[in-house]
Amino acid sequence: MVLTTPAARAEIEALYRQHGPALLLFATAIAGERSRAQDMVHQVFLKLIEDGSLQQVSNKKAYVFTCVRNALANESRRRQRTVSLDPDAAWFTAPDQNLAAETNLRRALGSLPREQSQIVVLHVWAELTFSEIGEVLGISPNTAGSRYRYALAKLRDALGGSVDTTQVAKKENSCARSR
Amino acid sequence: MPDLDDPFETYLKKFRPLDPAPFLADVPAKAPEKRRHLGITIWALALAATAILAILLVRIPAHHLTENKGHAPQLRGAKDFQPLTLNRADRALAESASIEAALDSLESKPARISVLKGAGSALAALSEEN
Repeated sequence: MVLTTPAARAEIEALYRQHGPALLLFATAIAGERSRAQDMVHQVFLKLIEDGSLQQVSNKKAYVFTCVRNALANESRRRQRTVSLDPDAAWFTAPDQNLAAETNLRRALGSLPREQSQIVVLHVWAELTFSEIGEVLGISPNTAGSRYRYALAKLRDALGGSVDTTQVAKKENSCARSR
Repeated sequence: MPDLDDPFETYLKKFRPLDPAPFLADVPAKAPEKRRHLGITIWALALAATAILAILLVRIPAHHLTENKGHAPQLRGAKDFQPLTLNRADRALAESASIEAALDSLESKPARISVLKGAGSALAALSEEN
């Protein structure tokens, strides 16, 4: 067993604090179950601390997302079962406490093919580049980009009239002008 | 780069993923503090118990001595009794001409213990009852 230095441990804990919400969302999008996703994220970070294996990694952010994905894949193989999405547990804090919007988004994400929902989570909330997403999912950056585009179109269709993007765009423009 | 739908992306980003549960690795860091508190409590209790015990040990014999002062039978000869100590043995060996003489001088002589006037012996009291 490799002993993690206090500095390395602090770095791992900082990674958890910084990317924990996005990692948990990513894990939930894969597992469909928040509690299982939480367990997996914790297990990954405990293993990182135990092994001290983050020191030689160049892109630590992409690496922890890959670890979570692999851990969930291994765990699913062991369980030999597919898990349906939990329809009740919240994934997000909605703007203006709009619970209906949160439910709509969660359902729309859940309705996407899993590889597409993962890409959306990684790009929108984890803010990974397509190159990094390709690294995490083991696909090319171009594939990641095109899947993202399809996923986003489907998501917009699924959310239907509940999202008025023109309003959002107007708001953004007015904010930019006031700045 | 893919053609991104910026306004829609912006809308999605307004939804913030929920925070995960606190990381378990933080827990052991807090444990020593709790253990330290427990240790301090145990030490404080032990000190208090020792202090109470010391006070009891000091007070009770003193109390008993003052209480029994007038009633305790005075034994004659008890003062003359000298226990065999290394010092006494050394002195005897140094002062005596031979080892036999030293041993003779160290021989414990049973002190004559007599009961004071007016105080009856236990044996006498028992024989009277019979």
